[in-house]
Amino acid sequence: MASASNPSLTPDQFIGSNLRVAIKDGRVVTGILTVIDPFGNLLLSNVIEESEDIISPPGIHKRDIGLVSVPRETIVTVSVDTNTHRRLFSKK
Amino acid sequence: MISLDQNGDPREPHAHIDITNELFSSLSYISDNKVIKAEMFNLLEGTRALEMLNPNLDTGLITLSDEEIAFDSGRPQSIDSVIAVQNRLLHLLPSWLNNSSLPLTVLSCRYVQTLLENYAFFRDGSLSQRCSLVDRRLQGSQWQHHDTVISTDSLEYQLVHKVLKSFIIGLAKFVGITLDIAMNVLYEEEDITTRTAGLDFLGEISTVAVLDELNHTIEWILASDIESGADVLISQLKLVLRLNQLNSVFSLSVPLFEESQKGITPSFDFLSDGTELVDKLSSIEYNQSCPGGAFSRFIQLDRENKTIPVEVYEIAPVEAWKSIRSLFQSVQGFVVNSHKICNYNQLINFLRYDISTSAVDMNIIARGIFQLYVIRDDRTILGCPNITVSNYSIDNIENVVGKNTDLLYLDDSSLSSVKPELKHQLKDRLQQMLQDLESCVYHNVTVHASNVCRQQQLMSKSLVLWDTLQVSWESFEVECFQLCKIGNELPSGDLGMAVSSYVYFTKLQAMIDLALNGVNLELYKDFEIYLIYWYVAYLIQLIVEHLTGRIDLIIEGKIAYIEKTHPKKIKKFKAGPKKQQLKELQLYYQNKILPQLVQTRDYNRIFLTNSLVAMNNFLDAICVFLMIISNLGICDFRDGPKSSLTSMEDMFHFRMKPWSSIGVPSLPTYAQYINSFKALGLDEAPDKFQSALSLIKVIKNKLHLSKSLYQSLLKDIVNDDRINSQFVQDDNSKVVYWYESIVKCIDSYSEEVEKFVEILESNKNDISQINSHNYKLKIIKSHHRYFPRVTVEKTFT
Repeated sequence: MASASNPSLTPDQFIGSNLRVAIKDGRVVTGILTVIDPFGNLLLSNVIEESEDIISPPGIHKRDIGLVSVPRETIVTVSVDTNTHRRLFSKK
Repeated sequence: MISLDQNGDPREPHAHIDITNELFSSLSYISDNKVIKAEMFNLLEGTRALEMLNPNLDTGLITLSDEEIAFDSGRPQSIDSVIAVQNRLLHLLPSWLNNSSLPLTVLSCRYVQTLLENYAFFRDGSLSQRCSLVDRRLQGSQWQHHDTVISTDSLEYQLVHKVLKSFIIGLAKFVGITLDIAMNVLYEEEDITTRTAGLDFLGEISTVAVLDELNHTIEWILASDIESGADVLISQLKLVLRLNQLNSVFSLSVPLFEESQKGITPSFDFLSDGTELVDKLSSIEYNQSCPGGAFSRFIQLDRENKTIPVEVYEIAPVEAWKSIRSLFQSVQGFVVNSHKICNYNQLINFLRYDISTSAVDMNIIARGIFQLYVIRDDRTILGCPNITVSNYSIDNIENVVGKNTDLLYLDDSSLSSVKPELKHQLKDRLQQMLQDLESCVYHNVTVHASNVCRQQQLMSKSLVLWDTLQVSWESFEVECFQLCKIGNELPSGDLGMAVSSYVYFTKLQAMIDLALNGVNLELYKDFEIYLIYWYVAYLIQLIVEHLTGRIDLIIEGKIAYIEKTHPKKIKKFKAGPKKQQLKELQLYYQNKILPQLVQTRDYNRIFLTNSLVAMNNFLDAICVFLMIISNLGICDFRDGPKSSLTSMEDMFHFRMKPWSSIGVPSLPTYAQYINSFKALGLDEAPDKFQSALSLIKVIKNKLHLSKSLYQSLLKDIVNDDRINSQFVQDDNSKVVYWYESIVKCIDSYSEEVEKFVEILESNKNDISQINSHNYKLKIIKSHHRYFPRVTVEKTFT
């Protein structure tokens, strides 16, 4: 796996991948990476937001919120499913 | 708050691998601060993205009170609370149509959301079972109420689970019907916003089932021993029932032009009952408020939502009732009036004056209903089985150029002398030409009930369609006449070109309407107003020449054929079956066709021509007034504004673009426009004050002439049978209102001219004091949408 000092993938290779982004308030948004800028701000399309169900916690509540911009400072982690990971990193 | 992104989370069956470092370290490859994007993605679209953790853009950050979160739509409520909820929903329905969306209005009601979610969840069962008001998510949650034992037999329980539920079913179904209408004929975000938060508004439930549900509930209330408030509940339920009955107008078949049906107006009690119910409900004072938490922004946080957080939107009760009342009244107005239509002119004038001019004030749903009401799925007009778009097109032509247009009735007898091969070619080509004409006529009909901005766009498109049609019909008519001697002749024996003449007439009308409608939409800058009126005056001059020239001659030619040519033809035949046949035909011409031709000719001469001449006189007066204003430098129509970055010539071509592609009549040149200012000789006049005063006399004469003509027309509309028979007989006649408004505008102009004379008089010693520094031009809305008031005011600097 690549390290920060030795990146193996270019940003355009991540474009079109379905990313699962955890944000600071505990919500997770999953969507297709459509735009990324040099500061790490993401634009995801077809986003599904997962949050704690306010009516019956700790159940999960999902909803479609469309096109979403995720500022870098709000991001905790970014992950992908195993298939996407294999597709991305097997190209090396 | 818990984190949902823990690896090994049992709720997440698919393993996810963290790539945070890989993703962000890849950014080091970006040079020149470039943005990396998907190939097909347009960055402009990114401007509508919602930003996470931005309180202004992120609906996930909406804060709700515990009361709002825990609202239990299944809990029994008092009768006053149920009335209050239903009352608020009746206000939220028109609020939605007032440039808002469902999640901010009707769907802000937790009862509606719960019912529609249950409807989507329970796929089987009766309507009542599927549309439960019990919130499944509250069951077993920390918010579930355990304080009281709920009796399902109690009145309060029944009021929610029977009355309120039926009311919401009815309301939701009506929203569903409205959404269907919107999908067909209305424009998203112009007329209506159709966002539904992913909820289905009872699409699988028939209107009949909904009406049954409402009727059963009304019967239940009547049989119950509710002491006070039952009357209000029933009125609210009945109002929703009447709303759902609105789409029954689509099944009405209007017996157009049938003498036997004249005066018989079918009963539309449900429409007048709807209005009465609104009047009744709007007069009640509602003291009780809705249960806490019943209306909130909950749905914006909870359901599919691609927009930003917004407060719940509700218009004032007075406005809400006015909107619902207007819906019933508009539908009743056009349904009743459409049943009075006796001839084609009435139908055309009904669309032009009753519908097109009032589209701006008409309730949005009423406009949608009208479009589906006037042209049905089977392409009949107003559901009349004998009148389809096809024969409507032909009658439209003959309504202008008179009956007996040879080319429209090509059959084997009229083509008997033509070679078989050519006969087929002609017939096929005619078929194609009629189809093209039909689509243009269809296009024109769809314009009437569109919103005013779309009307402008559709009219602009129609110019090109009619222009193309004119070219093809002209060549077809000439060919038919040259090859087969088919086509109506003028009294002189020349070819009449009846269909092309109709097409040209319609095109000119569309060109005029497009220009004047732009005045109503305030598309033109002050310095362009002269240009538009000058151009319209030119177009009206052309249409009057066409109407009094060729079209009049075509009708005269047809009359002459019946009165002279055809009888001569009969005389040439010896007695026998052929002669007898022609005699019968002559009888038909005399009794049926001739009166119609005379009627069309008289209507064209007395009404159409005079109304256009009256308008032209008014426009001439305005143009002279504006030329004086321009010449004195108050507003420069030749050079445009001083701060302009481009030339007036460029602005001329830009403004006239919609008309520039028309072949005939060609667009006047910029030089002709500039020369129009020289016509009055004001530029070279040695004494501008005196010249202006003499031109003021011209203006006054023109205004007087125009007013007299309009007043005479108004008399004819009321008193002259030849004219008033061409308009739907209605106490609130829109055509009368239309012309009365123009007369009021003429009076306003006369006042402005008088005011301007005072300005001239006060500056007669130094006319140069009348300039853009001391005076300004102001254009303000007036009585008629085509003629705003043009006033000259002193500036205060």
